[in-house]
Amino acid sequence: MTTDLLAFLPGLLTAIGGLVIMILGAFRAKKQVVVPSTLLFLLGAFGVAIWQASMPTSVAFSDMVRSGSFASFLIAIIVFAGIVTTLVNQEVMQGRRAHSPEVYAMILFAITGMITFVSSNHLLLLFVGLETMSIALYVLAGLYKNERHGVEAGLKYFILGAFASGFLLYGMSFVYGATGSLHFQALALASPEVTQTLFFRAGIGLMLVGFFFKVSAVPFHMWTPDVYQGSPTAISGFMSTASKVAAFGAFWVLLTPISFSVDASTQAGSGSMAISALYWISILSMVVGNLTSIAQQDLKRILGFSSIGHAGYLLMGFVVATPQAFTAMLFYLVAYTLMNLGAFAMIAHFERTFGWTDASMDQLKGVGRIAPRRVALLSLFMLSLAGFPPLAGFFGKYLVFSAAIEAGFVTLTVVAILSAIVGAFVYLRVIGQAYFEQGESAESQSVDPQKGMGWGMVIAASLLAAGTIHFGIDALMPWPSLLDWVNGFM
Amino acid sequence: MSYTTLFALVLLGLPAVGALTLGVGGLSNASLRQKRTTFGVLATAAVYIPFLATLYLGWNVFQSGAFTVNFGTFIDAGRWSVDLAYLIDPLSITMALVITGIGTLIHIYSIGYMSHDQGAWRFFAYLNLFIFAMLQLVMADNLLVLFIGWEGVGLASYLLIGFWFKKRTNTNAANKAFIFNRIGDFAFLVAMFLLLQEVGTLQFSGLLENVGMMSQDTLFWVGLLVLIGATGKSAQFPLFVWLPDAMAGPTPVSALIHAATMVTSGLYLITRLSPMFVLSPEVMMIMAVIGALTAFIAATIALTEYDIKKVLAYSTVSQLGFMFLALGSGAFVAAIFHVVTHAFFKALLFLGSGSVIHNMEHAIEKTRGKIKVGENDGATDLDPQDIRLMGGLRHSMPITFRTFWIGTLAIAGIPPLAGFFSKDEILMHTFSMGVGEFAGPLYMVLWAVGMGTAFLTAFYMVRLTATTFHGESRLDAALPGASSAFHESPRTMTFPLWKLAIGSIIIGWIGLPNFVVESLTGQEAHIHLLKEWIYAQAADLKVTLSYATEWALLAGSIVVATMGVFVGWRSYGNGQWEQTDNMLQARFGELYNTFRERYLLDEFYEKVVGEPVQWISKNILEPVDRIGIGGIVAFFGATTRVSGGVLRILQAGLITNYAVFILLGVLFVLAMMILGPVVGGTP
Amino acid sequence: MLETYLPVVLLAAISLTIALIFMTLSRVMGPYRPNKVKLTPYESGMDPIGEAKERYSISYYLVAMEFIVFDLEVMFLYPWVVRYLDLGFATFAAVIVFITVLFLGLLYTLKKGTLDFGSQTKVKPLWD
Repeated sequence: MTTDLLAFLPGLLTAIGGLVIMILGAFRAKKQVVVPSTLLFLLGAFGVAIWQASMPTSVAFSDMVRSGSFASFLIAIIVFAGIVTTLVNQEVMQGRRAHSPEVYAMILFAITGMITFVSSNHLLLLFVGLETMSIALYVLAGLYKNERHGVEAGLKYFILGAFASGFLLYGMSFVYGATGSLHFQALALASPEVTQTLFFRAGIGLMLVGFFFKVSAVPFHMWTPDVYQGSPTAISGFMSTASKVAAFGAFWVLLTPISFSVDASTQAGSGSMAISALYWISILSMVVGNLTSIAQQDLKRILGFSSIGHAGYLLMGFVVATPQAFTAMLFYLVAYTLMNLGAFAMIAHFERTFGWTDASMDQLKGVGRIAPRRVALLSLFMLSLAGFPPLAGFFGKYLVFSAAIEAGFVTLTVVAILSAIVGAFVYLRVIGQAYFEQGESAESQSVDPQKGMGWGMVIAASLLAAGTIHFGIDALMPWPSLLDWVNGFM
Repeated sequence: MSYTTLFALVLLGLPAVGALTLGVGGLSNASLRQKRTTFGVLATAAVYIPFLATLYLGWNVFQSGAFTVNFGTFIDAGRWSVDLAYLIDPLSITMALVITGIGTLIHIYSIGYMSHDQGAWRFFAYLNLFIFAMLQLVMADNLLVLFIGWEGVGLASYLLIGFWFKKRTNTNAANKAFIFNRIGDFAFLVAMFLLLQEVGTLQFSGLLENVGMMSQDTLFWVGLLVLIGATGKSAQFPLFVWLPDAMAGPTPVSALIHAATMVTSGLYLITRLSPMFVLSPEVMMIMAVIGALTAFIAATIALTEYDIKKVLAYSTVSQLGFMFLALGSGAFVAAIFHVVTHAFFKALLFLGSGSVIHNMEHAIEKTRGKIKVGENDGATDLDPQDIRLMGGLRHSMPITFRTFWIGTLAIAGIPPLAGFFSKDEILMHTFSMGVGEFAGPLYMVLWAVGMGTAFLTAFYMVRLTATTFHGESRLDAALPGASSAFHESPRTMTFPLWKLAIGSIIIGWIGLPNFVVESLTGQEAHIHLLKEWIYAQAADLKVTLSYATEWALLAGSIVVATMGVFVGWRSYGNGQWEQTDNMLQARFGELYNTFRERYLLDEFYEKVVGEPVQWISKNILEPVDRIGIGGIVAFFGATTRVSGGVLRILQAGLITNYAVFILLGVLFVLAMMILGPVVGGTP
Repeated sequence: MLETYLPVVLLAAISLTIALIFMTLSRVMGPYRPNKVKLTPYESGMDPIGEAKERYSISYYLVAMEFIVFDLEVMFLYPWVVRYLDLGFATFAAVIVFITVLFLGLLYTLKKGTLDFGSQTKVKPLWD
């Protein structure tokens, strides 16, 4: 019993945290109480997750829950994203009507769902986690219910999310029909006669659809820009990182038998049968994501399409499916989380500081002159997203691409590199807009541009920037690096 | 980490830390930039501490021999790899001592020199960057790390030549220096590729052990390419034209980079690879010819120049020519010896000239301030570097005057000052080659050219010094009352002058010729300390002359130098530059005009290289670029944008459309799952 | 293959038959006196006719939701109660956690005024 609870401790902490914050909110607690308590719970969960990540995989709750190594590592990333989001959100949402204690309760509930999602070892628990996460996120996406884009975001996300969940459930029932079990072990151990059946294959395919929706892979991506645009910006950052980390974790357990506590050497996994679907969807995602971002004028939509493109690069890891590729993908997840959160955080900050009504590119004109250092931070994240050395984004891409080349996926890599070049153009355009364009709008705004970043932003931005730079050169340093650690999971 | 590694790290890293700190500090805050002295002191510390570290490392090398410091793999490219390693041996220590020692003095000098310049913070950051790059160059254990330094000094030099970038000619000079260096760099790169292909390593010891693997042809081509690289960096004929223009930078820069250190990097490189060069007599011969030619051409141009820094620049080119002559004669130790002595007296001369210019500028500005506007318009374009406006400065600047004369005598080769020993050794080696078997007559001619150049050197240096300091002040004629504003430079500027003057006197004694003692005692002597110190790195050819010949050559050197000084003093001692120059012009006619027009080399490049390239660029390449390449780029850009626009239309925001796409996606995924793997790669 | 589905088809056929029999019987035997209210389909007591975008009091749905929540709670608790003695303390603790969470939810809705039908709608004050 105790070991069970201990294994799920990060999830318990965030769940209890969510309840506490909710009750605190009901009793009209001040922000000075709510935000630090949220952070306290998250930091606790983060510490436990990091601690557990250094331990081997173990199962708890009658094989329903996994913890340790890979799962805990993903939990740590998710909780980190939650910490940063809380820090940023409490600052940029200040003074808005939608700002309430429930926002933080929802963030905690969403994280609880994600933790359940990635640590589940059973399809039902996976679904429970997915829905806990999704419902909390539907609420968060629709926070700005008095704004046009806000309503649109919440509603679209809800309807399409429910649609995709339906496919996931349908797939699960197929798989259950084929194997007679909902345990991942049973899936992994299923005999070739079972896995060759149409039933099983269709089931896996439908489940993949559910996950594709969550990572916003093309053609299940269409909600992404609309939702990111309409949601509060800090929350968009959260959705684009934490929920994707969780969904990639789900891909992982579904597609690779490596992460199970069984002898992996004899199993090919379900990944090989899904390879062509993954292959084409990966290509579609990076091409469509990067190409469409060119035509965008809204910064949050640009980041939305960019996250679609990045999902394509991440899916490459599953297509290639060598230990090297999985390591690369995990590293890329960390890098992506850092830089994408950073980009959203800086945009959220500018929105607030300059009183933007929308985050269109034109707003950014001339901001580089007023706030050069803050735009430099934004540029750092943009350059990392574009994949400029020596930043984390570059190293992540490098690892993924080299793993793909080594496994013989040359065409895939060429497409990926070409689309990355197209993507780089967009990110550079953002930087150019901020630094080199003359701005009428920013200068004429009545907001005091000297109003700098508060403590939350400062902590969050410096953490993210330091991470973005550090992980770019981490592996080259003599000390043990993240890559070594991740390699230990294989 | 052992102490030696730590000290090596300090030596190599501190200047970089200094450059970064000063640069970032200056960039970040405008008020911080005003603390010019603080910047100067910090920059000086970032060079002085490495100097002390070099001394320690030098002591270590002296005690227990050369060693390498390896900071890990730099590039690992399959069949070959390059380490980020540094070689600490007598040769690199010698160079590092010159760089950090003279660098420290010049940094101190710059504190005074730049005290009124708004860009001082930038200046010191660049200077530290230069020291960092130069140390990379000389400490490197392989050609690639050396190349980092090689390009780094090029960059620092470019930044510093164009330091006052608001003036068009300065930036042009910077560009010129950079472009001419690039020609050499290209050859150097090709040489590296050849070496990688033929030997498979860029590491010095591995390279030199395996020179035997190379055929005579490869040796020749590699040698020639490295030589071209060195001629670019070390300002040799025909690529030396950038160096006189480089004088557009602040004077301390001219002293440090364009006289004492950077321009010697080509020499250092060839000395480092000397075991390879001696195997290719043809390259040695080409090198000697280039050296002698450069020495002579530059000396003749220096005769006719009126800009104090230009004279010194041409004299630098000329002295570098001497060094190449030494290399070509197989006198590698002598070349490094001349590098060391030249570093002292040329830095001294440049800093002295800086002191003079500083004074002239000050006097002109101060006096002009008193004159009413419009009264003397001619004063607006008075050039503070023009020696025709100087004269009589010995009264107002006694320290500069005395130290400048010491420098002049040292470069002229008057014993026992530094220049005498090194120059004598070079000429002796050339003579020795002249009596040797290979191309003997040619080397004899080169020796004669060298002797002639030695005479010219003494002559034009005395011309410069006498015209600057003796006679009566001529500035008053152009700007009445200006001479009363003359004053000696501040202590931070005169202190390095004295230090360098002392160095110019005594540094020659580390290379006393062995035969002086040998011929007296009849036994082998070891009083040439520098040779004892670096003989292992420099593959010197033996001198095969009798003691009598050597004594005769020594005496000849003294006579030529003394004559040069004497004739120079007779011709210019009283400020009669005008009569003498006119007389020379009348005597030599067209030849003199050729000198004056600098052999029309700049014009030659303009006509032969510049204009054809511009024509081709304008009439062929530009249309190709605009229509061809630009068209392709525009095509791809447009295609991308159009397809982005098309994809955007799909993204119309209608939730039913989205659902349709999801359904299509589901069908697609199911089809893929059922059809099974249809793509390649490992399953 | 198909014969395995025979029982399903049979079941469907039987239920369809029974339904038809009952509908016919009621039509044949029962009195038929229609009026407006009687013809209205059952709609939870709401007026089903009118604009589609009609506004309802949100309290109605909130109460309905809470009812469903506590209704389902009983569904979970009943099997546990039946086997209470066999299941032991661990299950007891789990049920306590379950009830606590539900209680916290109830507390929250109470504090937020879900069951407070009398109050007027006010503009929510800013939190910070």
